[in-house]
Order: sequence, then structure tokens, then C-alpha cells
Amino acid sequence: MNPVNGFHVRGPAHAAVEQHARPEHREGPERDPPEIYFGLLTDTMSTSRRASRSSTSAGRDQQRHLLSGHGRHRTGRISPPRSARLRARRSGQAALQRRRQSAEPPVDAEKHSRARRNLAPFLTFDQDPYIVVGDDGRLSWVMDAFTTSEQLSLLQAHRPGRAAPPSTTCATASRR
Amino acid sequence: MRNSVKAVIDAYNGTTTFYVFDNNDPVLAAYRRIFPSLFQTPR
Repeated sequence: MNPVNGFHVRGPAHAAVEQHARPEHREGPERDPPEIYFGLLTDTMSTSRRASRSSTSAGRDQQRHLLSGHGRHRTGRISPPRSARLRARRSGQAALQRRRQSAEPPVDAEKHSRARRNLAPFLTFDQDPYIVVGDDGRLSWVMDAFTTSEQLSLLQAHRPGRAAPPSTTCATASRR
Repeated sequence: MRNSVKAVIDAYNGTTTFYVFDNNDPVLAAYRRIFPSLFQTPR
């Protein structure tokens, strides 16, 4: 009977652990593990530590150990404060990546219209904004803003529709 | 009525910056004296 499916005096869970969850450690030709750390692209973390001479072969001081898991192994060489900083950095990078992936520009440019009018209520804004891409790749809305005055001569009244607040009367110069 | 200002709104967070595109506009010059830090000159 398959020891995984069968029962043992110590229970089937122990058999499953014995058969499948033992950390991989093979003697033989040295293999170079991927030099990727802390689960950025894999959950395998490699490290090297100093071993006693009696346990090494060919008289080398350094022996490479391969630890596999879910990135939660304590290597013993990373201090807890540094480990906390690394975790915080990784979480910050993940949050930044999620924010970049989910940061969709607002389709409706009128979302911030009230804020713009509060910033410069004396300007008349065009109702047809256009979107541009900056040098850094970020999207920005551009709205034309007009200065208006009622104190100039040779003017005729002009109401640009919704471009101006109801209490504002814009004027445009006309040449006759 | 002059198109002397362009409002640039960051599409992600709504940060608004006013850039001056007509330095000869007397009305805008008055506004710039009243609010000296509101308008910026494009680079």
C-alpha cells in the first residue's frame, strides 16, 4: 500500500510529510541556484553559511545550502530589524505596483472642476479639455483658461455657455 | 478674452498647475501680482 495513503502508527500526516515535504538536499555535483532572493520571482531562497571542516568535502570552508520554501525561512544572517525593513520595502513595492496597475485616469475631467474653480475662480475654463502624455509618461488633462474683463472698451457681451459660472459675464474684443 | 492660461491637471491625483502662456495679457499680469505663487511659467 502506498505509505501516503495508508496508515501508520504515527499517523498518515507524518507519512505525507516524510514523503513529500522533506527539504531537498542532494549530494553530488554542485548546482548553481538562481540568484533571485526573497521571492521576487520564485519562492526559493539560497544562502551560504560557514560549515565545519569535518562536514565539507574537498577541504573547502564554504558549503552552499539550498533552502526551499515560501520565503519565510530564517537564514540567521539577516537581523530582525533588517528583515522587517525588507518586508516593508517589499510590501511598499507591491502596493506601488498595484497602484500603478489600477491607477486609471479619470475619464470624466469634470471630476475636479470644483477644485479648479476654487483655485482660480476668476478664470473662465474651457469645457473641452484634452489629455496629454508628459515626459515621465504620466497623463494630464489640459484645460484652456481665459482671462475676462468687463472694463475694456469696444467690447460686446459674450456668454460662452457652460464655460462660465452663471454669475460671470465674459466679454470678447471685437474689431469694427 | 484671452487664452493666456493653461490648467494642467494630473489625471491620477487631480493636482492642478496653472501655466502662463501669454505674458502680455494685462489682466493676467494683475492676477499674477495678486496671486504671485499661483501661476507658473512653462519651462
